Amino acid sequence: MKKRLFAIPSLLAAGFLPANAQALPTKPTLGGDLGKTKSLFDIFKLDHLYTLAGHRSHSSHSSHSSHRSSTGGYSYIPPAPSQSAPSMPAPTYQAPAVAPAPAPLKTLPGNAYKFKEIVQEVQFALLAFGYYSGEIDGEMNPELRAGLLRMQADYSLKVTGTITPETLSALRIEAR
Amino acid sequence: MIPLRIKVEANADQPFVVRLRSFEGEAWEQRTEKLNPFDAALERVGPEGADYVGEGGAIRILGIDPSKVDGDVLLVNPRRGTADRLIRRSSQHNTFLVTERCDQVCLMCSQPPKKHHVDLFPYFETAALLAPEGATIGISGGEPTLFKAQLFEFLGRVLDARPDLSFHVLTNGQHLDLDDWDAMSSIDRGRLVWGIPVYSRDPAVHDEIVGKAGAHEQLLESLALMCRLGAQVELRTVLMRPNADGLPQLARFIASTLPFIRTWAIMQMENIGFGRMNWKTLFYDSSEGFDVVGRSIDLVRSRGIDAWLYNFPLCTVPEPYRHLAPATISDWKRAYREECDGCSLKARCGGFFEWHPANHGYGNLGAIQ
Amino acid sequence: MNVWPLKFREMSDGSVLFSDDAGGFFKSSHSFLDRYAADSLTPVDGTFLREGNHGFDREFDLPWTSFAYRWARRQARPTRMNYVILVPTLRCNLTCGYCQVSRAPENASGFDWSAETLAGVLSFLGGLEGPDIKIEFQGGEPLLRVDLLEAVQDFCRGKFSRPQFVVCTNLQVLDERAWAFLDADDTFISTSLDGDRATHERQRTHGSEVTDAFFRNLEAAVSRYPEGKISALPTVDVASPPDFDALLDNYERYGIRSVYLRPINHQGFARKVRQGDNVLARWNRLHSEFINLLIARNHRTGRFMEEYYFSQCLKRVLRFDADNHVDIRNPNFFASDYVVIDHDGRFYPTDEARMLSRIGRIDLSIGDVGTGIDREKVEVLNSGAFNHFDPDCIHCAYQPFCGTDVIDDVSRYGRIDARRTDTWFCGRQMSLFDKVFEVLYRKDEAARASLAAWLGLVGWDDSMAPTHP
Repeated sequence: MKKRLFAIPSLLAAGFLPANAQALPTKPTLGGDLGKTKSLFDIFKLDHLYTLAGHRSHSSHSSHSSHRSSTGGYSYIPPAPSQSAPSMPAPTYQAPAVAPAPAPLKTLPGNAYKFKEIVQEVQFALLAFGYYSGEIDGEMNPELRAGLLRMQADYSLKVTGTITPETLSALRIEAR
Repeated sequence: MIPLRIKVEANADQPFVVRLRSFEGEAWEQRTEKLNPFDAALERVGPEGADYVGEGGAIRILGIDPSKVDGDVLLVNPRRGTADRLIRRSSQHNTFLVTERCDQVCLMCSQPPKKHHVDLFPYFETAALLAPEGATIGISGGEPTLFKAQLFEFLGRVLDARPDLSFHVLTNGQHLDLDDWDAMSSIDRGRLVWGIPVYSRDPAVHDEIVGKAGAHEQLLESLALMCRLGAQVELRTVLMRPNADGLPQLARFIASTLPFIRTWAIMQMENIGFGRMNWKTLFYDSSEGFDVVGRSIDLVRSRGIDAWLYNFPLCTVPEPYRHLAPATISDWKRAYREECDGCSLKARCGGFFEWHPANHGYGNLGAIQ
Repeated sequence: MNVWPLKFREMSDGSVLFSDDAGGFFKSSHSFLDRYAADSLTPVDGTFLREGNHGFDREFDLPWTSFAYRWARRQARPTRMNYVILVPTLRCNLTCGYCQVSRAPENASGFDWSAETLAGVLSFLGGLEGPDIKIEFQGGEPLLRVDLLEAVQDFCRGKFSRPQFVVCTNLQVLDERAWAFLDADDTFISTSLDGDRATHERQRTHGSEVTDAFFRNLEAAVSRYPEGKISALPTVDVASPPDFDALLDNYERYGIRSVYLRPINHQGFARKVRQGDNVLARWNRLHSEFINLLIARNHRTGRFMEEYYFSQCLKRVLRFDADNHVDIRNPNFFASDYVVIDHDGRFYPTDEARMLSRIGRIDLSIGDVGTGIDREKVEVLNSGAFNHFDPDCIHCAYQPFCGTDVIDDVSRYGRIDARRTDTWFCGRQMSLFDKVFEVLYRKDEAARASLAAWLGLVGWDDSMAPTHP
């Protein structure tokens, strides 16, 4: 390929100096007596937001969900000797003797909404079957629990008072 | 109001942490996955309560429907027959109260300090490891940094073990010094926000409000350290009569000398604790005197620093500033009043503190159409 | 208290503007300057300087740390390449008077990407980190090669989770395929609208039929898309500027509230012949008048419009995090977050560098898609790309807000070490920042309202720009 000719033959001729790290702005450090060698830039390195020619690209990092109000109005009562006598013999619980390991609770988006829909269908079905006369509001309540217990007993299902798969099939509610 | 403590029957000697799992409705498939040793699964609900069974045995929950506590992490106090809901799955406002001791006595403190302290860090650590994915957990007190060694260890370990979690620590900034450099710089600063109150540019006003001489000076030292550590700071200023007039001056100070903060939160007062006792002398009606607030926010924002209004009912804020007032009042303390009926902004409004007095407070308030 | 060094500049009203290296500023008087110079500051001076964080007592104390923080934040340090300007073809279907070098005739051959070049571009894009990328299609008229645009778009949508595309088009000829390309939500339009119809026709379209076609397409686009989808730039001939009122009316009519006023950038010989004397002074006067007009118009209508670059400079003065525009970046390092790829696959640091190379002035290409970016050459270019040590800049009150433009210096003077104050760049920036501070210290409702709107605030009051008697 033919070598093109330029009026200014080189960058040097235009006054650029050979690349040289010493020419860069000095990097003051905050180390001082602490003996840290991080530069101000490293310490203050933060998210950036750039625009070129008027087109914006955001990389914002703050979110509303992290706005927290305040403390107050609550405290844990420290462990204290018991006075209260349980209404019935209390179940026995022995805390696991293992070190706790990370176990994030996975929540799928929309789950709460789906659950509400299912509860609504259960309420409607139990109403139709004569086991419930409360509101169709998608909220679990004691009357609905009682209705479930009765219905499960009558249909020889496992009596749990909860919405089991068995119960859903018996009520002809399809899992989606 | 959402209950933070529920009744539990469990036969055990010591307090313990447990996570409740319901597996009702569609979630049933999940039951096939192996339960964590700290999980207890719902077996049966009846008039006598809700029975859960886990590796450690059985417990019974009373007085609340299991659907309301599904996924919650409880600290069960078997001898008292109660459990504290350390983590509520559906809440954005979970907060661990690590101590009730404090070295400041703020005029409007919503949680007046007590002498007694019980170390609950091991329970908090277990609970945090069981938290929902991506949660932000608040740490509060009292003054958490009075126990800073345990605090730093707790934060470091949990953040390492759970890369999805973040923390928000409320502190008065009186106990951090150079000796904490190593501990603090080894914690992932990207997932830790420090909420630090400052009430005035004027040290005398600040010290008077927090009830501690020299507090302001110490606070500024701590803030300089935070800046050098690259820590994320949320500066918090409760708006009150003693500091309202000085708010623009504080805003200028923030713009010039505290530019490294991530957020400035101007907060309305909470009518509880000392705040209730001193309400008449402290409450500043920002619905009538918003001018100082607006000017302060504009100044700070003009310098590229974030500023927000916390705990301000939207109807008390002039329309152009409402987008700066997120719904911050914690869900379990939140209430709406009769005046809120039919308000078009209710869905995105934090409302009022449950304990906000009916006949004190805002002169200007009411449903917005 | 140790006071950080203050630089100063006399303002048009006779007062003196002071600034420090971290961008702190205030307006004061000659008598303060005398006290500062003679090291005889009064206690009142001391209090004021302390409040503005212009001094410190000891290293690492809060004022020292805050100053260091603001200084560090003001240095531009983009490191991730996320903005790529592509020239898939140099061919164009218009012959604008001032565009003699950056186009080729519509029917010419050899001015489009080859299949090989396209593959090279995609492979370069494939090496970038996400999650976001912005692709700007330049030309020529890029919509002459929708097929190439589609290939890039498809690739980026597969590779990045948040891609954005901007098509810089003259909107003259849009077939169905072009409309379909523009319809996508991640695709934006940037066009030229030189003001009123007469000016646009004189400078660009040269005939009423062609002009009609442009306005028809612009109107179609405006009615088809939401506000914000279309942006436009007017190119202004200093010798024959458009009627600014008509220009603003026209922009507002098309829902475009941000106007980036740019002077015609003649290259080489044309620059000397066509512009006459005192271009810089005349441009600065025009721009300043435009800002005054905007402020008055905004106040009158209550509908706020802005001049894009002025708003950028305004934010750069007030904020430490506003280095979005390249001309106010310091350092202004090349090929760090954006780069240009020409029709032949060569990389250039900027569009102007591409044109300078094209007219044979100097070779500013920095590699090609086959061999990658020539980092050594970029380093050499970068050696002049900051103003920290420039003997003229170090005394300038606007240094903490300003940047550099070595490409423009080479273009105009053949060298980057011309006396700074003699350069076009410096002359334009000085005038702009003079204007910014003039507006910041204006005390009338109209200016306050525009300031607030341009800064995204509810209100602006006089105490927000510090003054010391």
